[in-house]
Amino acid sequence: MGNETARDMETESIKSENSSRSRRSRSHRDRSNYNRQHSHRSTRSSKSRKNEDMAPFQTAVTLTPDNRDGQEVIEVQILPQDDNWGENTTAITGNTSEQSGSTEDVSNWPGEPDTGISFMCQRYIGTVFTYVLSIVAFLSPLAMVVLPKLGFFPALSSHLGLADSAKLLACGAECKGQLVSLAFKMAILAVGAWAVFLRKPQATLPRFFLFRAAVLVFVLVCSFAYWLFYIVQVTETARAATTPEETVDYKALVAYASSLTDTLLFIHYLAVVLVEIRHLQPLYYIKVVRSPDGASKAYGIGQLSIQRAAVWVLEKYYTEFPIYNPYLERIPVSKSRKTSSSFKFYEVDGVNNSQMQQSQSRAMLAAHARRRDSSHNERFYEEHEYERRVKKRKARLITAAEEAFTHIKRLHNDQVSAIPMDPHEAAQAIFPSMARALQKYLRVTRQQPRHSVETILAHLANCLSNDLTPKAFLEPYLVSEPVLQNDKENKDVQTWALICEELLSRPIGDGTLFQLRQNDVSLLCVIKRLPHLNITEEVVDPKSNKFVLRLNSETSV
Amino acid sequence: MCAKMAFQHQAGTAMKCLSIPITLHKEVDGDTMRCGFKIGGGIDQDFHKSPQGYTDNGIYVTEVHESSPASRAGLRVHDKILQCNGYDFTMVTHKKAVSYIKKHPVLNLLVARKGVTST
Repeated sequence: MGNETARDMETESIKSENSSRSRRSRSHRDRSNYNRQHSHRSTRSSKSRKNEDMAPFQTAVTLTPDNRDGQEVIEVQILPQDDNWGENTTAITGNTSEQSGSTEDVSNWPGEPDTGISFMCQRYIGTVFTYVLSIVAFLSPLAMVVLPKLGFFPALSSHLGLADSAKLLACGAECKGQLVSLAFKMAILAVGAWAVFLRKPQATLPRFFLFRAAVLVFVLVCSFAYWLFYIVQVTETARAATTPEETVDYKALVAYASSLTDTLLFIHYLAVVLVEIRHLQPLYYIKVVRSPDGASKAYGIGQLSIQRAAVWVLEKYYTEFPIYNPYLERIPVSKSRKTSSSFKFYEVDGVNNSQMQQSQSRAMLAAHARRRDSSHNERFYEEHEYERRVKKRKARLITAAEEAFTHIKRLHNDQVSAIPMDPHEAAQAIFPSMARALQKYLRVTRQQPRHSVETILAHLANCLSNDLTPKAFLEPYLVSEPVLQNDKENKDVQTWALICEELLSRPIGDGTLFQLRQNDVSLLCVIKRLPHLNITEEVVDPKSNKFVLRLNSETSV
Repeated sequence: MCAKMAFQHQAGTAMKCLSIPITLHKEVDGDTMRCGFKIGGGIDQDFHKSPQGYTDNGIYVTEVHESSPASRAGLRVHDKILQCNGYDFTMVTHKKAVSYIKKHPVLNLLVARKGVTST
């Protein structure tokens, strides 16, 4: 009967309580939480009932329904509790950063903006349109010159006889010269367009890129106007002509095509100046501050629109900012320090002593104030301690690396020695001697998610084959500089959200503020104008460069 | 003999000579009191290098500014200060002399002048 009661009794699993708390606080990596989850060994029974009577710091009793050896097995667990968990529970629900896991259904969230048909459309439609338009414009002079020869315009020669029409379409010396210059100009235009414009677009902007749109409109209008006049000229004049001299001859058409090429070249110049050169001279000073860890840099920037300035800032961000390490947010307290105890006071008497309570609350306030003061010291000592540990591990790591590198020697051709190894095998041979020091260093600087053993070995093989010194090998682990050094950031497309109060295609001005956001990281950019520099000339008479020795010092009283 | 002794005095030796008493009342100049003259010399200085050609290690007045308390009190250039408010100025360093002068708002000086107190 005892067995039946055991079976009927529901497993007092604290799994539900555990899981609810862990869902709330899983987004911040508290080690004690982890331990709790790992030490939880309750069997997944069918029913789990949340017991409201049980306080968190009591022992938990789990009764397994299945009997082992015909006896009830009682598992008792004492759950380690962290008294502070209530203080630093963040209210993030669901997956908001890519460093934490989530149990929420992600299909409710808006889809990834990086993929999908709409994004590809948006990304390439501007480029495709530009290409089509520029190809049409580029081929127009060619078409204008070739089409009459091919006989597209019968109106040209309809009124005239065969001999005259052949004479019209003939090309004399002047016309040949113009054809040659036309050919060269088109070659120059092609090379210019290739050099400056024919490349993959760096960024997809939310609003119109004003200058590019203006230039494209220009090109469109220009080619339309030229074609219109061309066709009108050729057909109308030819129809109205009565004698061979009045109608258009081929030389005029070639000159016309040549002038179109000139116009296209000037438009190309205008585009280069507007899109590439105008923003090169620094007019403003922009300060970029990264939000979660406060890393900041300042740059000089030229006159750009807000969205182009955002692209510029991101280019600088990926090549100059240090890597953001979210695990370094909270410097770990060393285990020797006892956890801060809250100020408890007990009412011994139990009767309402208002005076006692007042004095006690005053004492509590004083204690809180003292704790605030000492918490400044706490932070200082913690950081000091942490830096010391990092330096110690770093020194040990460098020593271990140097020692490991002495085991390997490059094999020269004339040496007759042991088994030759290729760089990968050599890397695997010397890695174990410094593996421990490297692992400890990575752990203390919280970099170990960034580097896996395979990447470290590949990097080591690379260094060995290039004859690098140990310090050069250690550089990617000691210096966490440009953001793109982090392999995880090496994606094809990076999406950032741009937030600004003004319209995004407006030019930046003094006091403009915009923010770029991606997951946890946000970059706040503030723009100030550079002062107008007034350089004055000061003439110093070289005769005034004379000195007298003050031997006997005189003092004025 | 007195003249030679006054202007070619060996610091530390005893000397007796005539002197002119001058009382100088300093004027307020901002947050300091200003006398309006410059001194040079001292036992730590080398009188051979003095541009004015002084002949011993005493404290000499090298410049008196116009319409200053010093000129109003009767101090003249190239006067040798023998005593200031009771301090003996024939055996002081330059810095000490400056500090003694700057100490009090009224200076009672005993001054030796070539051609007046001596021939």
